[in-house]
Amino acid sequence: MTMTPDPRPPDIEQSIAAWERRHIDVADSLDTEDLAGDTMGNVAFNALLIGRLLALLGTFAEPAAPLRLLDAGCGTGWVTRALASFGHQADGIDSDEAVVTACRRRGRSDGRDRYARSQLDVWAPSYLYDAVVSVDVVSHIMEDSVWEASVVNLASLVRSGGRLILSDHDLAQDHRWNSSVMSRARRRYVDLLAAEGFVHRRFMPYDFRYNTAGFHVFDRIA
Amino acid sequence: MLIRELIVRHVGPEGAVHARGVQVDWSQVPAGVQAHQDDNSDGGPVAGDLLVVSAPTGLGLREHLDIDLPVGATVLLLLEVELAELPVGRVLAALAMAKLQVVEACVVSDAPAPTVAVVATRTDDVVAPAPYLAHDLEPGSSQGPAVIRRLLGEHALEGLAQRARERALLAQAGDVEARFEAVSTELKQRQDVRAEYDILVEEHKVMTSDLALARAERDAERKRMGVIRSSRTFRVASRLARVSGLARGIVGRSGGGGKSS
Repeated sequence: MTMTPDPRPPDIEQSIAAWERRHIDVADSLDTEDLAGDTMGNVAFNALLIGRLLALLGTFAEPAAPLRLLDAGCGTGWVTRALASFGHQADGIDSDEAVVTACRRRGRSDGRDRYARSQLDVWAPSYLYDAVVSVDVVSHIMEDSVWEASVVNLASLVRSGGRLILSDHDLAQDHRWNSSVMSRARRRYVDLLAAEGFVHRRFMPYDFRYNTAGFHVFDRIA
Repeated sequence: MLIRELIVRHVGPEGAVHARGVQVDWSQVPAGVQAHQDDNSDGGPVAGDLLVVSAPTGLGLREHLDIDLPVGATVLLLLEVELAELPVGRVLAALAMAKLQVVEACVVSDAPAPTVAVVATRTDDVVAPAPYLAHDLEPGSSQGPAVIRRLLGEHALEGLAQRARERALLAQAGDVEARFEAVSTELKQRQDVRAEYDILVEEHKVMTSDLALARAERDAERKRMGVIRSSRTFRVASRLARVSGLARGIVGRSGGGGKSS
C-alpha cells in the first residue's frame, strides 16, 4: 500500500504535542528508540549510539575539568545521563515539561546532568558548550523555519574548536519519510552552518542493521 | 590525559623529546622518537621538538622556562598543583617572558600528585589552540584571524558572564549555608529538648516503678490487715477493747479518777 503524505507538515506545536504523547509511552525506557525495532535491538541501538558519540567527542574525560555538553532534545535523558557518567557536565533540554521533570527526578546525585525545559531554537545559557549533540531530534522538526532556527541556535552555543553533532540521514535531497520525520539534505546543513563558522567534518552512519541515519559532524573554525 | 598522550600529540613528526627535571617513562614514548633525559649535549630543543619540564608554581617558575627557545619548539609544562589552585597570572607571565603561547591545557591523569599540564609553543605569531575533542577526523583549517576574533569574543563575553554566574553561585551557596546553620541550630535545640524529655521519661519510669512498689506494699499491708481483722483473736481483742472503753466511760461519768476539764 502506498501512503500519500499529508501535503501540509505539522507545525512545531503539533510536533511538540506528538512528542509529549510519545514520551508518556516511553517515560521509563530508553532515550532513543527505533520504532520499527525490537526491544533488545533498541537497547543495543542506544549503547551503539553512545559508542559513536564517544568516538566523536573523544575519550578524554577529566571530572575535575569536565567537557560541557548539551543534549538538545534529551527526551527521557538517557543520553544525557550516559554522557555525564563519563565525567562530563551535561545539560539536557526538551520542550516537554513532563520529561524534564522526570529527568530531574532521575538525575545523578553529583549534579553532572542538569535539565531545562526549552525548545532547541531558543535555548541561550550564559556559557558555551564544548559540544552540542542532538540525537534524532532535528529531523522531527517538520516546520522548516523552526528547523533552520534550531540548527542555527544550537550552532551559536558551540565554542571555538567545539563540535556540533546532529543526527539525520545523509541525503542529496530533502526527504519526507512520514508525517513526523523529515530529513534535510546534507547541503542544507553545510550551507547553513558554514555561515555560522562551521565546517562539515564527516557523516558517521549509525551502522545499525537497517537504519541508514547517522551523525553529521561539524566543527567551529571561526 | 596521560603524559604519553600529551607527548604524542605535541611532538613534531621529526621532533625529539627533551625531559628536564622530570623523569619520563621512555618506554611509553612511541618508538622512533628521539629522547633526551636532562641532557643538553645535543644543543637543546629545535623547531618541532617538545621540551617536557616540571616546574614549581611558586615565584621560581620563570627560571624553569628557557627564554631562548627556537620558534617552533613546544614546551609541555607540568605544574604540580590542584587545577582549582592554578596560579593563572604567574603561569601566563612566565610563558609570555619566554614568548610561549598556550595551545592546550589539561589535567594530567597519571601523575602521582595532582598535576596540570600546560602546552605552549614558541611563536612570534598567533596560533590557534590545539583541537581537544576527538581529532582524528578529516582535517580542516582552524587557523586564521576569524578563529582568533571568535576566541577573543568568547573570552570577553564568557569572562564577563562567568563573573556574574560565579557571584550568583556564591550567593546561592551562601543561602544554603545560612539555611544549613539555621537548621543545625534548630536541630540542636530540638536535641536539647529531646534530651530533657528523655530525662523526664526516665524519671517518670522510676516514679511509676516506685508507685507500683508502694501500691504493692499497700495492698500486701491491706491483705495482712484483712487477715488480722478476720482472726478470732482480733475479734476478741476488739470486743474487749470496746468493753474496756465502755467501762472507762462509766467510770469517768461517775467522777472517779478522771481529769476535770
